[in-house]
Order: sequence, then C-alpha cells, then structure tokens
Amino acid sequence: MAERESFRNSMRGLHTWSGLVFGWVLYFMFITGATGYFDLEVDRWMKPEIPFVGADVEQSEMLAVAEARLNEIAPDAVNWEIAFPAGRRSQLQISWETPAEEGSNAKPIKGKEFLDPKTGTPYEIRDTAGGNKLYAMHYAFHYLPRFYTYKIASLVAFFMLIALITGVVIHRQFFKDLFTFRPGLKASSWLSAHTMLSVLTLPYLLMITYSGLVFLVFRTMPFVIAAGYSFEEDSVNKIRADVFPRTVIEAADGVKSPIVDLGEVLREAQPLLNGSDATAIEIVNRGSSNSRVEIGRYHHVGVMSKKLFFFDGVTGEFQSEKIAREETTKGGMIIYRILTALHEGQFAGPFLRWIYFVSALAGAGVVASGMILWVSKRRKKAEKADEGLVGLRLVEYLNIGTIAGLPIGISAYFWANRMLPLEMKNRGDWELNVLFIVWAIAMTYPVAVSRTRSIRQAWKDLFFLGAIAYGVLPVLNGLTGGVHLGESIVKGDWVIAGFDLAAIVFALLFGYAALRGSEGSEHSAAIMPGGPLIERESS
Amino acid sequence: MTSGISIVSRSLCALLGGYVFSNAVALVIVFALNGNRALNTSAGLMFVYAFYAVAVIFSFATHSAWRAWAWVAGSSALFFGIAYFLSKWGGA
Repeated sequence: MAERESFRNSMRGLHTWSGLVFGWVLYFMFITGATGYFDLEVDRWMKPEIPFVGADVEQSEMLAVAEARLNEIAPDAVNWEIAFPAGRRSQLQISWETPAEEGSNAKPIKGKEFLDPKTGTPYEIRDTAGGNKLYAMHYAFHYLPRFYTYKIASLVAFFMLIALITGVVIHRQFFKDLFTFRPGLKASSWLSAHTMLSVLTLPYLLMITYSGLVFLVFRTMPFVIAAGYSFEEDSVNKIRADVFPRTVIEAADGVKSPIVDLGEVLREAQPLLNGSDATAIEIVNRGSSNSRVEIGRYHHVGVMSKKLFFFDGVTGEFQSEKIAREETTKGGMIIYRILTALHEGQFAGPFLRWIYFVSALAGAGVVASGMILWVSKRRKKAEKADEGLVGLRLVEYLNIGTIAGLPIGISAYFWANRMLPLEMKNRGDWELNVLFIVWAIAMTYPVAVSRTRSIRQAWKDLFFLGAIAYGVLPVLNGLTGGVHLGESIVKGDWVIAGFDLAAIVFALLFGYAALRGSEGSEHSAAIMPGGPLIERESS
Repeated sequence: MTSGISIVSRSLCALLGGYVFSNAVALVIVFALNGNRALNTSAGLMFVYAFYAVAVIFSFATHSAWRAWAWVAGSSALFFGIAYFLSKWGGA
C-alpha cells in the first residue's frame, strides 16, 4: 500500500514539474498551433485587398490566365505552381521559385501572387506575415535557427507527453481531491477546471502530442536512422528521399528539353480526377529533361485527404507508379501518414475544424490551469512559512505575462496588419516583431506595477486590455479596407465574418474573466488566480 | 544521497538515459523486421517516443536513482546487443 502511495507521489511530482518547466512554451505552441486550423482564413483576413469572389470560372480558363501571368512575370523560373480555388481556398494563386544552386550563396528566387480568376490581373496585396507565419511558430518559433527549433519543439512536446501519461496515472488522486469538500482550500476550483478540461480533451491531447513528436521524428532521432542505414553518410537525407519522394526533388539536370502544355496535362488528368476538380497544378524543373508535373486533388479516404498525380514534364506521360513507391505507403509510414493527417486535420470539414480549434485552445487551457494551480497550491504553504515567495512570484508573473499576455500579443499582430504603413520595408516581419514587442511589454507589466497593483489587479488589467483589443478588431477591419461585419454576413463571406465574430467571442471571454475577478464578486477569491495572497496584502 | 541530488540524477537518467534506451529498443524493431531498410527504420521511429516515455516514468518510479541508472543502462545495453545480433544474423 505504501509502495503504491510512493509511486503515485513520484508520478505526481513528475506530472507537476514536467508540466511546469516548459509550460509557457507549451501554451505558446497550443495557442499558435490552434490558429493553424484556420490558417487560410486568417490569411485572407490579413489580405483585405483580395475580394470575395465565388468561383464561377472554368478551371481551364483559370489555368490559361495563370500561365499567361507566370510567363510574363517568371518566364525563367524553374518551378511553377498554380493553386485553384478549392475547398477552403477561395482564390486563384500562383507561385514560382528558382532554387539556389547547391553550395552557392545566392538566395533562391521566389514569388507569389493572387490573381483575378477572370482576367489574370494580380491583386496588389500588402506585405504581411499572414496566417502561415502565425501558425508555423508552433513548431518553428521565431528568431531561432531551424537547427534548434525542431529539437526544442520536440523536447517541449515530449514533456507534455510525460505530463499526460503521469496525469492519467494519478487521476484517481485528482478525482479524490475533486470530490472531497475541503473548506478554505482555494486551489480546488482550479484543480477542478484543470481536471475537467484534461479529461474532456485527453484523446485530442494524446493524439496531438504524440503525432507532433512523430511529425519531427526524422529530425530528432538521427542515430536510429544512421544505424538503420548501416551508418552510411547522409543517412537522414537518404531516408527522407526514400519515404518522402515528393519532398525531395532532384535538381534540374539542365538538359534543354521542351515544356509540356499544362492545359494538355490537366485534360489528360480528368479521368484520374474522377469528376472532382484539381486543387493545384505544379511543374518542377521546367525546361529540363527531368521535369515533372504534379496535379493535386482533395481525396477523402478516412483522414487522408490529398492525392497527387505525377506526369512527365516533357512528354506529359502519366508516371505516378514510378514515384509512389512502397516506402511511402507501407509499414511505419502508414502510421506516420495517419498520425500526421490527424495532427493537421486537413480532412476536417467546418464543424470538425471548429472542434479541432476549440480542442487546441482547451489544450492551452489545460496547461494554463495547471500552471495557475501550481501557484495556488503553494501560496498557502508559502504564506505560513513566509518563504519561497520568490519562485512563486516568478511563476505568477510568467503566468500573467503569458496566459493573458500572449493573446494580447497576437491581437497586436492583427492590429499591426492594419496599422503599419503599407509602404513599410519588411512590413511582414514587423507584424511579427510587433507581436513579440507587445507580448514582452505584457510580460513586464505585472512586474512594473507590482508596487501599486496587486497580482489580481494585474490579471484583470491584462484581461481587460485583451477584451478591448479583440473587441475593436471587427471595427478596425471595417475601417481599414476590410469588409465590415454587416456586409460580410449579408454577402455570405463567412471567412471574414467568422474571423470578426471569433474576435468578438474572445473579447467577451476576456471581459468575463476581467469582471469575474472584480473585488465585488463573492467567488472572486476562489476564482481569480492571486486571490488569497492579495487579501493578505490589502488587510 | 540527498533528495536534491537524487532528483537531478533521476532527471539526467530519464532524459539522457531514456533517449539512449529508446534508440536501443527502436533499433530492435528496425532489425527484427524484414522489409527494406526505409520501411524498417521508419517503423522503429514511430514508437521511439513511447519507449522514451516508459524510461522517463521508470526513472522516477523506481526506489532509488542508482536503480534507475542501473536498469536504464543495463536494458539499453541488452537491447543494443539484441539489435546488433539481429542486424548481423537475423532479420532480412
């Protein structure tokens, strides 16, 4: 019996500390990752120059105007991609790239444009980091070299995995705490919030955490790969070439060759597409003998949602069989593909997509409530012994600055999208800088005002600020070139309307959090983090 | 051993020892399978974090830091041995 108790105690310690150590990074990953389920939608909000157009143009016509534009702007580019309006994407988009030569210092030439689907005229779009940069930070962070980011993201996710497993192991203790009435223990309501959120989202949390680790496993376990490849040199690139042939495209061989007509390939692909429209067409190594055309379409088989067809870029001959080798579809790669498909949720329709989004935010809530719980549990003890307040304070400040501060930083990202001068140099980078500057200010706020304002007031101040920042966003959208809420709802532009309505919901939530902690509220001492300590200070 | 040192020791055992242990078990899978090397290696990689987690939990669950180190090091050596044996004489 004692043995079991000591086992559970050590698991409780492991749960507490593995959750706390990187808790703030985890919170950052859950919040920014959540936006990834709506990356295209966020992106459209951040590019108000793009009008809302229903796609009533034939795909072959769109291909023709897109090709004409590419020939005009990037005739020598090695790779072209044309993405059609399909699924969640409502625009015709072209991009081109000439990769830098291996070993040279030259930067790759890249470009991207949104086109009017009828005329092929590009829209003049502001320089913005958009929805893509925002969500990519959940594994790539920002300001950090890529060599470290995948490893850091994996380490943090691994701590989350440990916190989840140990959380399940000690859950009985949780429930005992939950249902035992212990008057005066203020931590209990945070415990119940933490427990309830975790139990409800446990399947999602386990899935997203393990699949996130699997996503990056080819970068984090080089020794297994090296040994599996008989310690040959460059084994990591070799296995990537074997299991993801799509991502490793051999360089253009430079042998001058004719370029296939893309319209011809698209026609040829029709029987394969089986009635559904192509979502994108891409040609790599244009003009070389190893050129290839890829046609993608959405294809729902369980959670796997995308299918690619490959054609020879010179002759137009269908060649999928040559590329889709068994390594990509068998054994461990089945697990890999299912897990990563579940992680990304590309297959999800609107309803499931919102569930994904809310689950990810709930994941952030699990982390946040856990960190607040850490403080509430220790405050009483620290008060009695009058010691250990430094660490407690540090965690408390970090909690305020991150839990309330990060969402404010993200709102500032959207504000910057509309407020920074359009002609500003590196404007997109500056949107991100603004996010981090505002977050940093929010971090220092509770420390800066610690002499005049209590911890609880600092929480309230930031929640209040968050309510205003998000609440005014829809107005800002209407005033700065976007489609205002009245119009977007009437027109049925649910991408823009959805963003603005979500901003209002977040504003209400922040407002509720700020009011709930007001001095007059009788529950406030139990609900608001920082309650009891403040009361002692003010008496 | 004071509890502070014990915790640091267990943490190192969990993070570093656990990493080595997870690689060792994954390699047993890699070399026990009889597909081609890309399939086998990717299959091993899919489970590596599960074994890593087992090692971390064990490091904190067992009675002492010494035991944690002994078990993680011993079982890593054992699994590396099995993996080596399989890579030479077993599997494909």
